Amino acid sequence: MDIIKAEKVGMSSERLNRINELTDSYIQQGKLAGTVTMLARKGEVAHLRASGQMSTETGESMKEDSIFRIYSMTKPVTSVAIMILYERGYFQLDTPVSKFIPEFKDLQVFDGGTIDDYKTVKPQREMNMADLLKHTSGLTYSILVASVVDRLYVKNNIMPAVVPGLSLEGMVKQLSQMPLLFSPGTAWNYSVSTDVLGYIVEVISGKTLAEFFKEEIFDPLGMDDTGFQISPDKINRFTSNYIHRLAVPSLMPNADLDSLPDKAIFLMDDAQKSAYAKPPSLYSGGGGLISTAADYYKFLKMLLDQGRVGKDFILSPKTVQLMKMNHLPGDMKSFLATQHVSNNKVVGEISPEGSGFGLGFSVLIDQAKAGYTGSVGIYSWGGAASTFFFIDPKEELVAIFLTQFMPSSIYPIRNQFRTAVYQSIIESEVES
Amino acid sequence: MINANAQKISISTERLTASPEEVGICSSRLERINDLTSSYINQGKLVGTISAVSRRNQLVHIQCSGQMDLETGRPMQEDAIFRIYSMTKPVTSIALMILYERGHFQLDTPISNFIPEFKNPLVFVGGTVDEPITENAKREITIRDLLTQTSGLTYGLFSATPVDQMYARAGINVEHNEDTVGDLVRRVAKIPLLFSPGTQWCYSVATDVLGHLIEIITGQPLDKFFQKEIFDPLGMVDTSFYVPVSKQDRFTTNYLDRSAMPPEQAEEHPDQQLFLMDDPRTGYYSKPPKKLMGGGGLVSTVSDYMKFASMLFNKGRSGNAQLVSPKTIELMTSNHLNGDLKSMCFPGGSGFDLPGIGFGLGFGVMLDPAKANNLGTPGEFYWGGAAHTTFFVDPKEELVAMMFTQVFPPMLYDTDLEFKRAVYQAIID
Repeated sequence: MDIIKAEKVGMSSERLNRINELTDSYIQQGKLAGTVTMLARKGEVAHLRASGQMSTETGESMKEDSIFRIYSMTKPVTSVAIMILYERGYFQLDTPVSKFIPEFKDLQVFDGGTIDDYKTVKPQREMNMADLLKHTSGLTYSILVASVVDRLYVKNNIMPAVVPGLSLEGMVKQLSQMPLLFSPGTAWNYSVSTDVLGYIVEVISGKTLAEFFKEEIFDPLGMDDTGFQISPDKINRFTSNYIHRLAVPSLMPNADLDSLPDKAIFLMDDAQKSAYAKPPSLYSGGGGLISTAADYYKFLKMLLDQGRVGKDFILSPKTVQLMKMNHLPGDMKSFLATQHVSNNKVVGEISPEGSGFGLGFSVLIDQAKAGYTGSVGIYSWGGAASTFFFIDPKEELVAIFLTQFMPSSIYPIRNQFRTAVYQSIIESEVES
Repeated sequence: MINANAQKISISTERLTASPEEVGICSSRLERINDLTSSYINQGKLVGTISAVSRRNQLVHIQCSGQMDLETGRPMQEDAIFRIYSMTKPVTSIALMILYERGHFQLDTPISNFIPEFKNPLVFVGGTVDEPITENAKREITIRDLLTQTSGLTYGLFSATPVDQMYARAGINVEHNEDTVGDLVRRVAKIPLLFSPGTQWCYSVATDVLGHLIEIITGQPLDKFFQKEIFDPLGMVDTSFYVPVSKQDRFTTNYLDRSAMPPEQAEEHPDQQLFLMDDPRTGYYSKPPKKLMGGGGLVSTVSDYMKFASMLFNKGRSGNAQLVSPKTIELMTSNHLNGDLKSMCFPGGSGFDLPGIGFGLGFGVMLDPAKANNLGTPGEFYWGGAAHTTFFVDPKEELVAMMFTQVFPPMLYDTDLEFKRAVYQAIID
């Protein structure tokens, strides 16, 4: 890949080194095994760098083309897929989800009680397609473990990409038996909504989500290293996944915490022995993909270019514009399902203050509230293994941070990376 | 069941003035309009449609699908004439603003200056149809209230309040009675308002009242004023309040969906989706009506209405004619509500309580596509007619588009939103 001199696109090469200092410092302290960072402006890549190791066990150096589990950075891809079908006229954004999943017709809302004995009430309205795209569906995530409904998900094994053997159809059937956390459209709550969207892509298109992604997105964009499975010829480029000491009890329940050595990160998924080598039981539109910096950049560049890929269009500019608008009444913080959950610590991959939510990603609406450098209108999301991306349409900026470390809430690395990127801009496109 | 004839589609290319790509629209994506209309037609939900799209004043799409009517099965033709119902309202609103520019009134002039029966209006606050309890309205109805549908008048069609029932009982919306529009307006004036003027939004006969106001101010019947001030300057040759015999074979038939039929009549025809509602030769439009309804009386063609909508897009201008000034168009297409229709709509507003949509002087105005849950651009303005005709103008994207068909009841299908989505997704530049 050609890397252009940063000054040609209004950035300082010297200041860009601060990204390197940041990632190297984490790696030297043993907090992360390795990283790949990437930055492009005005369609030119100004920074692409691998640091540290793919695996602390083998000591293999991180490469620019290393392959990462991107988890929830799958969600924007699924959101684009469903909007492709929207453009083809299969639904309106306010079409009830029950049009495609009849079992969702009479979903009820949790109204107090325990996982064994709870009451429900009728929702104010049915869940619609937009609710799934912006996480206002009333669905939730077992991993949040913040409400009785979350625990019901755990009890019923509704954990896509975690519970082996679950199919998308099985997941949807299970979900139809669960109460909603709240009436659709009344709050924001991170959820399995995007997995449900993945299922709807399969229902509408008659293809598997993997086939649809490949034909409609990966092939046209040339994303050759992105998929739900690592192929044998690429396994040497696959990175291992690590977890923080504090997360060992919840993410590796069989490990003996007391006998763990005194270090910050522990091997969770060895690249060479990973389950990603086998086809998954379900294609998780919420978190199932693996990808590289270069591949994910192609996807983000398409969004920055308002859907354009060469002479073709994955989406119309009008659709991309709609996706990156805030679809909540205010920021995520003001719309969180706080009255329905016992804690609001884990709410997603981006801080809810000052950011709204569009159709598949967060959107910065109030920089002062958010409290970090950027531009109003940047849209972004991250993955559970601390990966992160953002697009700034005003500054024509795309940035990607890849590593493999869970959970993503431990270090403030995303904010530090974003700051390192913005401080290297020396010519802003935004009028002050 | 697939109707073989419905598959016939004629795309006239002669009248197109540019290829879609020349104005930043993708031809192959534009074909999704065809997917949309043929899907409705193949399912027997619609009989025929015409759609048209222009960008930067270049017509890049005009397409006929299906049939003029089920009875003869003739293919839809480009010069077909349709009942445009509420798409009459923008025409009446422009007509009124022509008079505004000439200084006959200000927007906050009370309508009682012209129609004394509206002096000291009463608002319904409780009671029954027979014994309503009323109180004095906070202020009189102004001309702007009529234009923005915040007058407190209602329709007697879309909701079921006691006030609506009073409209129904007074026969306000019976097409066939022998009223003039003046008679109708005077009967409306006797019924209490649904709310105090300016406080809420309710779709209503307000534009019919405006039509009568035009007659009072100009001393001419509404059809004469339309002809002289709008249709002639724009070259709208097929737009009027009735269809003369010479044009009857171009007039499409209007159908009623079985969902709106009395159940016993529907059961007699178990396989029939659409039922004849208004016959071109013998129906309501076959002779000049006594009542010239500015809220919904016109028939028109896609070609004619395209001229009208393009005039709006070109800020009042058409060729050498300037119907109203650009400043007037700007004023008309600004949001005049305190918020969106969702927050302003009278409760039970049946389908008009739209989030992200405001209302100007005669049009709905897109405020926030995210809230409205559809592709669009802030500043785009639009309206539709009861038989599922629809048009929109997007000044920022330089777009004018419309789709005509003829099926009742109103708001049965979201064809307007689906059409809008199909047009916008074809934009690539």
